[in-house]
Amino acid sequence: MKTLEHKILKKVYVMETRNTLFSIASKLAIFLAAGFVTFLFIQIMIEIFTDEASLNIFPVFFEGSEVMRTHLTDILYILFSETPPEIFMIIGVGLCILLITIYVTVRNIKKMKNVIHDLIQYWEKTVLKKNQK
Amino acid sequence: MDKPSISDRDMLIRVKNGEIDCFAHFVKKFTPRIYTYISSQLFDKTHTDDLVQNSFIAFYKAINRLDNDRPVLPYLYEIAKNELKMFYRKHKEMLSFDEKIINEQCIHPQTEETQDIESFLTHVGPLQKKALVMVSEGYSYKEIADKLGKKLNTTRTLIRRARQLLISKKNNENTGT
Repeated sequence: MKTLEHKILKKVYVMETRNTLFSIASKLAIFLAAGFVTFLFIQIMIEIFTDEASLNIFPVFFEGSEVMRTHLTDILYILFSETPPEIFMIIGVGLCILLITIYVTVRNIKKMKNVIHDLIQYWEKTVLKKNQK
Repeated sequence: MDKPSISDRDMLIRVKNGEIDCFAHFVKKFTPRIYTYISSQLFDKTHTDDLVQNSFIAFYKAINRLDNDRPVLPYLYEIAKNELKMFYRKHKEMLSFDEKIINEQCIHPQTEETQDIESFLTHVGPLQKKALVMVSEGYSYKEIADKLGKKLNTTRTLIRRARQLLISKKNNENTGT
């Protein structure tokens, strides 16, 4: 019965290790991909607005808080109307994915910490046992 | 039914929180009972071991869906029962492919029964006949629909009506004689 119990636990640990690694890798991949795409398209958007200097969006940010507050609605309106809708959509979707990934990770962080802790302990034990033999 | 002991409930919550070590509590506590249950249904020890392992793995996979206030053992028994069902389904005895049977069928293809069926089939329309023949040959409804160039639901209706027609014809014939 003891060997059977050990076999069951080993299978559970192997399965959980695989699942945890896959979950971490997939979350990291999604986060990096979404982050990269969002960053890239924000860069493109900034370039578009710096090329069109007549729109005067970015100099306002350096003018101080008073000027920024008075022109905030104008700036937002220009941003919405002048940005190509495709770029705007991609940035929006990218940010949404980023936020969802962060939310899910933060929500499960405690569970993930416990799982990783137990997995490390178990594998350390098994490696030590093997080495002793 | 016994109420779950406090330790079971606590352990369940801890396993749900990611403390995999606590799963050992369930394994140690329930393995003998599940083993006895499965071995009472099976006599091959190697398969018993496999099924016990599979039951606990399935239990671990489903642990997040389990209600904390419900007892664990009945749930485990149910999983073991399902594992047994799956095992029996997998190891169901199948009729082996026998060339002799095929040859005999080829030599005597026209039995009385088949002649009866063919005479009945003259009462249904050509499309219905074609569909029924394909059903008897083992085609799925989807394949029949594709072959006839009809929608799946239309094919279903076609076959159902043909069957009803044949049943009513056969009943009429029986009451007539």
